[in-house]
Amino acid sequence: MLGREAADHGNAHGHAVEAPIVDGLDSDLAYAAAEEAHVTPESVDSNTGFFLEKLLAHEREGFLWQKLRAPRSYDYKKAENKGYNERYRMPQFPFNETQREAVMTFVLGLVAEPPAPQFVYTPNDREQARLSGLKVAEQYNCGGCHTLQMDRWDVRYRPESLGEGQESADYPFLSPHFTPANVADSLVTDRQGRRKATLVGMPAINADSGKPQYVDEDGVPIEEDDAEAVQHRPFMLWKDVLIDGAPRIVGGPNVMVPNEALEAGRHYPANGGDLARLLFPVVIADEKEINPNVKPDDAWGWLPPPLVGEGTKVQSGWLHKFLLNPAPIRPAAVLRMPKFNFQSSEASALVNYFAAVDGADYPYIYDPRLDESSVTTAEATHPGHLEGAMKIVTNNNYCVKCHLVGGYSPPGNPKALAPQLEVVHERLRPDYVHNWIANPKRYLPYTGMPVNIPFDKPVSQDLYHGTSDQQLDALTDLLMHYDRFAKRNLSLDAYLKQPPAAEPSSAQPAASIDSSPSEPIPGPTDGPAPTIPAGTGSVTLLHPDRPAVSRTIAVAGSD
Amino acid sequence: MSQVHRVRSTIGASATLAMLLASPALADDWGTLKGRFKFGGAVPTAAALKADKDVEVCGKEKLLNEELVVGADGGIANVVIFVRDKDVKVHPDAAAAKDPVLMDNKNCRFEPHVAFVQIGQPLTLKNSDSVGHNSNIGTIKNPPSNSLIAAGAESNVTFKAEEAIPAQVTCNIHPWMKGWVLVRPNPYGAVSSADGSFEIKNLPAGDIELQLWHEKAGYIGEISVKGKSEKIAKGRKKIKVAAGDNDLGEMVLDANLFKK
Repeated sequence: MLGREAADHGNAHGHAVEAPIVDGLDSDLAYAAAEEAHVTPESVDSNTGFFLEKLLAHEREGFLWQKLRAPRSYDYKKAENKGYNERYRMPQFPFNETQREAVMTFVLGLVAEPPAPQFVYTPNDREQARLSGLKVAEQYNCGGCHTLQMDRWDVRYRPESLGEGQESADYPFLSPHFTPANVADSLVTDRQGRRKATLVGMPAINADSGKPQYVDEDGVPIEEDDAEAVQHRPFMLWKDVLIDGAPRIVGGPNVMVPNEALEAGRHYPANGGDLARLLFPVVIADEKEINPNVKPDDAWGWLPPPLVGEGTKVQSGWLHKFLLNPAPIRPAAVLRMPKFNFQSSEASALVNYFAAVDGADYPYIYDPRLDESSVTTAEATHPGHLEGAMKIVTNNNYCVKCHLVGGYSPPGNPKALAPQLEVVHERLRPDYVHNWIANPKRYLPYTGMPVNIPFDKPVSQDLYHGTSDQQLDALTDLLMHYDRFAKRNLSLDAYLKQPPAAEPSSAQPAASIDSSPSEPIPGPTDGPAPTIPAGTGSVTLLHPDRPAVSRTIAVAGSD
Repeated sequence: MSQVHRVRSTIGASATLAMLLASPALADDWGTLKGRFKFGGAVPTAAALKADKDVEVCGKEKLLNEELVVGADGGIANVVIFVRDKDVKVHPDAAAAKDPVLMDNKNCRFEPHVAFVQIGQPLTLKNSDSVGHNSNIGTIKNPPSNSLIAAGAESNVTFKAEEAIPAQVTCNIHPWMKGWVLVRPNPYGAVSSADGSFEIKNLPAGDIELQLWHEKAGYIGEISVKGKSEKIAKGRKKIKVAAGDNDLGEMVLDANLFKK
C-alpha cells in the first residue's frame, strides 16, 4: 500500500516499484514494498494505474482513492510526535473497489458542481429567520444566560397519576384552546396502560441546593432519609396541556410527574438558561440576608429571563434597539444585559428569530390598538377613558405600588420593584399588554404581579367607571399611548416666562394659559428652564375634568 | 331524656334504639383533643424585619420574623396539627359550620399567621391597612391565586382540593409579609396559639392519625412528653381518641428540629 508520502518518497528518488499494490497492506509495508520494488502507473492494471498517477500528481482523485483505501497511511511520519487522540480518526472502511469508486463519485460530484436544486434544503422565510437567528444566538451564546427553549417532557403516565386539574374562572380570552380531537387523543391508552402528554416548561429546582426538586405525591419535598416516598418532579407549565382529557393551564398548579412516568417517556432538556439556573439558589440565599421571608419562585424574576414567547411579547423595533444598546428594564435584576456590539444585521436576525419561532408578525407589526384613532374613538364613547386609566395607574393601591412611572420610583427593596411603565408603548405588543394585565401568571407563571382587575370584580368605579373588560382596555390604551397622553398633559408653565401684562390697546393679546396644575404627569420643575424661541404656536392643553382645548399662545422667548 | 320518651312513645322502642345507635350527636361518640407545644431549648429572640415600603403604615408596629414564635414560657405558636385520615367521620355541627375564615392584612403582616380552612369554606382576605396589598397564595393542589386587595377591601377565595401541608401566602408589594393557609377536607385541625396550646373539638372516638407540621421545622419528626422522647416519622402520630377530653399534655419539640 502506498501512502502519499510513500509515493512522494519513491517519486523523489526516481524509483519505480514493480510489485502490484495489494489492498490491506499497511503503510509501512507499502513503503517497504515501494523501496524494494518499483511501482509505476504503467506497471499495474489500468484502473489502479489511473489513481496512482493521480496520487503522484497530488490530484483530488488520487488523494481520495488513497484516503479511502488506507486512511492511516496519512499518519506516516506524522504520528511520532502526536498522542493517540491527536491522530487522524477516519476508520478503515471495508469498501471494495466498486464501493470505493461510488463514494468517490459522490464526493467528487459535490465539488464539481452544485447539488441539484431538488436536493438542496430551501427553508421558507420563517424557518430561514429561525435558522439565521439561532446562528447568531449561538455565536453570542445568548443561551448561556437566557432560556431559548423550555424543557420538554414527553411523559407516558398511568391514568390519573398526574393528579387532578382544577378549573378556575377567568376572562374568556384566556381560556385554553383544545379541540375535541385533542381531548380524545389525550385519553388514548396504549398497550401498557399509559397515556401520553407533552409538558413544556420548567422542572422545579430546590431553592437551597439548586438541584432537581423531588416531592411526594402530595407535593411535599422528600427528606433525604425517606426511602419509601414515591418520587415526583414538580413541573411548572409554560404551555397549556391536556392530561386525562382535562386542561392544565399555564399559571395553574405545578404538575406532579411521577419519576416512572418520566422514565417511560423522553426528556428534551432546555436550550439555554444555565446561568439563571446556576444562580437561582445563590440569589435566594443572598436575599434571605435581607428578607428571611423571600418566596423562592420570586427569584426567577431577578435572573436573566427566559426568552420563550419573546416574539409575541415585544415589538420588533424596540428589541432591535435594545439589542444594539441595552438599557435596564427590571429594577430587580441582579445582572445587566451586556452590550454585545452587534451589527445591525445580527440584531435583526435575532429579532426575526424570536418573531418567527412564536409565529408573530415581523419585521413590521400592525395592531389597530397602536393607532391613535382607536384611542380617539374610545375617548369619544367613554369620556375620560385615558384619564380614568391613569387614575388606576397612579392610585396608591395599584400599579405605582411597584412600577416605575416616568420620574416616579416606588420606595423600598429593588427586588420588589417592577419595570418602567412609560416605555411600555414602544416595548410591548398591545395584545400581550392586554392579556398580561388580565392575568399575569398565564404568561409568566412565576411572576408575583397580582391580578389587579379580576374578571368578575372591576376596580373602584371612582377611578374608572366601567366593567372589568373596559378597564382592561383603558389600561392597555393608556400604556400603548402613554407618550401621546404625556405630551398632551404636559404643562408648559414651568418653561414659560409670564409675558408682561398686556396693554389693552395691544394689537396682539398675550395668551391666556390656564395655570391650574394638570394631573398626573408632572412637568419638569427642577433645574433651569430650557430656552425656547419666541414666537406664536398652538398648544393643546388638557385637564382631567375638561375636554381638550387648543389655544394659540404667544411665547416670550427666554433668550 | 324527655325528648327520648316522646320519640319512644310515637315510633316505638326498637326504632328509637336504632336511631340512638346511629346518632352521631351523642356525647359519648366524640372527644376533644388538647395539648401544648413547648420549645426544647433557650427561648430564641425573633429577628426584626425591615419594612422599607409604606413605612407610615408598615412602620407602626415593630415587625418581627414569625417563622418561629416562642413565648416567654416556651410555648411555640403556629404549630399546625390536623387529622390526616381522609374518611374521618365528621360531627354534624362541625360539618355544617363553614363560616368564612378571615385572614387580615394588618399593619403589613398577616393575621392570623396560619389560617385553617375547609374545602369549600371561604377564606376572606381582608385589607385593614390604608395601603394596597396582594395575597399571593402558592397552593400545590389548588390553582394558585394572587389578587390585589385595595385598602379597606376584601376578597374571598375558596378551595376545591385538600392540601397536604399549608400553602405559603405572600405579598409581593411588601415582600417581608408571609403567612400560611391549610386546606383540609374536614374541620379537624388547629394551629397552636401564642402559649403553644391547641384544641380540636368533636373528634370521632377511635383511632386516628395526626399530622404535625411547623413552617420552620417542616414535618415534626420527634416529640418528647414527660422526658420520654418519641420519633414520629413524617410528623405522623397515631392516637386513640376517647370520648370526652383527651389531653396529649406538654409536648416538647427540641430546638434542633427548627434548625433547617
